[in-house]
Amino acid sequence: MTQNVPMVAASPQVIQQIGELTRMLHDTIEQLGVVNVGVMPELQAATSALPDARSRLNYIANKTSDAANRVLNSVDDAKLEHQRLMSESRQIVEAIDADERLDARMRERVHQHIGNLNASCDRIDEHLTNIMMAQDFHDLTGQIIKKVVRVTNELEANLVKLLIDLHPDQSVTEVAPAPPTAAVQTAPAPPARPSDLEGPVVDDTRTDVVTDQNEVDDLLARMGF
Amino acid sequence: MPSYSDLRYLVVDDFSTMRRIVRGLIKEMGGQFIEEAEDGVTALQVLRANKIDFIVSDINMPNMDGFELLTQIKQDPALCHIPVLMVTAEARKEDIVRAAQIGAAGYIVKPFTKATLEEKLSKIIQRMTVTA
Repeated sequence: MTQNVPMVAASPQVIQQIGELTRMLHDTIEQLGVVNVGVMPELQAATSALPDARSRLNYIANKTSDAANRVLNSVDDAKLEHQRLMSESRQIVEAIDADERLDARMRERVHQHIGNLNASCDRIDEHLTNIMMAQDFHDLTGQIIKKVVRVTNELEANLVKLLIDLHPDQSVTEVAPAPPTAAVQTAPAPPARPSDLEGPVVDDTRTDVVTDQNEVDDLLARMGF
Repeated sequence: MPSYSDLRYLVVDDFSTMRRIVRGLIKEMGGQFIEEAEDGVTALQVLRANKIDFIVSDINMPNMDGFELLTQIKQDPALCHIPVLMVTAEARKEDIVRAAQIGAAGYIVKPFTKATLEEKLSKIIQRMTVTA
């Protein structure tokens, strides 16, 4: 019953740290006076690369969503087939039990076969449930992709601001990259307001998080819940 | 004690795959009437338009997160009796404690197993019978 929580989380301070780093970068560039000696094109290139990175993440989110849903559709279909087989098996057993003309040995063989079939169906159903449960990867990875997309948005906004600050003579459209064209279609929209919720945890050295369900249960039990 | 098939469920999660998984598991346990919502706002609409006996809710969702949903449910005299089982990837101890203090009936951390969901559902349903 013990499962490891995937070690995948972003620090809640990430956004703030990006802002601080950008300000530090801004101050350093100004102090060094290197605005016109090759830093600007590299900053512009880095800023322009972010929408592409975001599009690629969106692509991953869409593809993994499609794949997970295709698997779930197949699991649903297979479970319906499984139910039909089990139902038919029950009907056959009832029919041969009701038929007194049937040879006893033959009846026994059919019973044995149906029994084996049902046991096999149960095992297949368990496999199908496991396949269904494994599709939770889409939820867990999707939350992380959303978080990374949000971080790239912040990073991009800060870099664009930095570029405009350093090169006020250029227009915004010259320094700023094009707005993102593709949103994550299958991953839900980010919260309307900033949230301190973290999603899956990535740092396995943290002590402020639980690593499995047993720890959740212990914590709640200690609190009297 | 009511059986799984007697209850009407609401599954709240912003990821459709997770809603399908939880729905599938509840159906395997015998649940028949299962509504879905993609965030807290939609969940409240569903709750006010349908008779729901049991809620399984994520926490990290757009528009209205699971904490806010739980708070609103517990503050609403018409809804506060409905048990809410949180199923979430939020693994911080402070979040678990917060959910319990607001009034969550249980807390499952993702990824989870069918056995874990079944165990929590069963315990909460037993408590429903005892307190009823």
